[in-house]
Amino acid sequence: MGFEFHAAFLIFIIIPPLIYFVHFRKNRGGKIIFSFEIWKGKGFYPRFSIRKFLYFISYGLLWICFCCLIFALAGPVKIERHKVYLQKGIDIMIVLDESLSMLAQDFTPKNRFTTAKRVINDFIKGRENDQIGLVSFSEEAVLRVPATIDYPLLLDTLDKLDVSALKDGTAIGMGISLACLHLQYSTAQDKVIILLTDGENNAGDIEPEKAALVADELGIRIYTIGMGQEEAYMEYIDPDTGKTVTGVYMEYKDPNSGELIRGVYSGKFDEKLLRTIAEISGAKYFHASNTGTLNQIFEQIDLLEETEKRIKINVDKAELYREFILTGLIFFFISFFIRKIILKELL
Amino acid sequence: MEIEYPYVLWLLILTVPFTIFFFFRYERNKDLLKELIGSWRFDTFSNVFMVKVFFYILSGNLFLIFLILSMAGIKFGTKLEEEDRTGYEIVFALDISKSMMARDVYPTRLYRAAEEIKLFMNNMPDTSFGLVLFKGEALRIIPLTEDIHSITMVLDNVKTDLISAPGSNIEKGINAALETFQEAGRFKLIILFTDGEVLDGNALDKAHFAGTQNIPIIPVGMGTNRGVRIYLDNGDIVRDKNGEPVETKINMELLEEIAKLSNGKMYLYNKVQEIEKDLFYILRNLEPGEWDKNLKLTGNDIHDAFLLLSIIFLFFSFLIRGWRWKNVI
Repeated sequence: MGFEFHAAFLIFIIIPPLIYFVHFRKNRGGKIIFSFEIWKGKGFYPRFSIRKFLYFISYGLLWICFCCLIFALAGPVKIERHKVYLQKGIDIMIVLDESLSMLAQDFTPKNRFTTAKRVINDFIKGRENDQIGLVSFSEEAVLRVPATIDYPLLLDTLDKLDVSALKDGTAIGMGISLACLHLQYSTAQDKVIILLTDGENNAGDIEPEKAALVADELGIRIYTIGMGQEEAYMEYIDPDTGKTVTGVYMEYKDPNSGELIRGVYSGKFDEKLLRTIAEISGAKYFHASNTGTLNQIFEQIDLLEETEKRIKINVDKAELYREFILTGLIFFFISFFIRKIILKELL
Repeated sequence: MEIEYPYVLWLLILTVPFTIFFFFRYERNKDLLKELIGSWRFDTFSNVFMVKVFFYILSGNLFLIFLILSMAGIKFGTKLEEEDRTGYEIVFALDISKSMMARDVYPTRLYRAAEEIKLFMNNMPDTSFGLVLFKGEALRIIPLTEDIHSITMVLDNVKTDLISAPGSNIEKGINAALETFQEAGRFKLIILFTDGEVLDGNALDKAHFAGTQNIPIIPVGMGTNRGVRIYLDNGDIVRDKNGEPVETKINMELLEEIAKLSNGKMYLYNKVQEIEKDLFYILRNLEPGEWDKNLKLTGNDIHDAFLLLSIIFLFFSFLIRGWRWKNVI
């Protein structure tokens, strides 16, 4: 909190002499003088009583009221500083695979999908002034959040994302195309897509390479991240067939029936395709084999897409004088009540 | 002259009981004074007492009056200040209550509102737009974004049943729009598409609040003054609980009041394209004319003058009590 008109505090100078004038000056008004020479005794000195205490309180409140008004006159303000960016940031669309295979439990602490969400969450929180959007895809692609500065809404939507929302299948081309559609009119200095997937393109009407060409024409770079590591696959025995299956364990809870479905995911992402997509658009391909490498990849992308930020600080001032006046008014009326109603002051 | 908080002036009523209290107590206090000082010198004291009581009441009332006036946010005259905001953030608050299916605006009020929003966005590049839908509740459908395509996709499929809560609550619509704004240093504006038929909430209070936050509201009146029935998609007519067909018409008074309280301006549905031309002046509280684009018009706040006067009269009230008249022993 600050004050805009410090000169108003000079009024405090008159308070001590005023207190003396009202309460202590020998010939002050409001006193009634009695002659007691005839009795030649001591004067009247009332001992401490509740009345004297109330008198002290009532005048104390009145002086506090006076002080509150002086503070109000001094222009109290609540100061808030806001960062204002003088230049637009970049626009980023995160395209996240939410097919069932993302439930594979080779990424700690839980599975590929929750790890991806957590890492993306940290990435978003580390950005400033960049409009970030979210597209998710499995058999179909859906725009979840358009590119926006509203990070709380974006993070909330990301948190609520679930792999069971769309059908199974991996439509990488559709995911890229949808992201391009929502970035095409962007006026940002740079436009970027970050694509995370663990599978091959096996759904959708648009081929990923063609989508990448469109992105390149629109000046959009596509970072591709392939999740999973075949070397970490283990052998399991299928309980239905008795055959050996090599892959990674996954669990899926059907939201309709509540049934827990267990299985082994044997698929892998198409590394060649992801490399091609990245190269066409002039960006990079990354391989995330575990949680640690996924974190590092996003840190690297964060550095690669670092932009110069020109900012100015706007200072907003919220006036607080009404609060001081209202407090003073309340003290005045309490003081008035005590003096005139309880103590029955004549003037 | 402009008063920011006119309801504060109701506190001026306090001066009445304040004055009445002293009048009622005057005779009683005089009698008490006579008892205390003795009848032999009462005449001298009574004149002084009467004068002091009069001036005490006067200074006390003036103290209260000026104090209350200082709280009311009175602005007298205008001044030009530097405007340091750039860029626009515009949130559309679209009414999707059943009355928006009326056909006094071709083909329906809702459809026409959606079309006008799409046209408006196309003419405003480098602007962030957001979309809020409201009925009995409000929903922020699209956060602020430059991706007008995402807003267009929603508008192409907008229906009255996107929100289940029945009713028409403009206050909630404005509130959701206010919560959508993000960045400091940008011009913020709410464009409210509605017929003004309110069933719940206090839209005017919220409009006043938006005005205090420098966020003007531009109500776009969807409808006409002719009372028309509401037809649903299946051809049924909307009826009230008595089975009578409901008739709807635009509530111009409410929309004009919302605009006034928030320092905005009201437009009819067929004048939406004029908003873009007037935006510069509305956001800076200026009248159309030649103004430097880095200036804005604000009112001169004179609360400190009233506050100083109230402090002076409080000071006088202390002096009146404490001053000893020289004609009195």
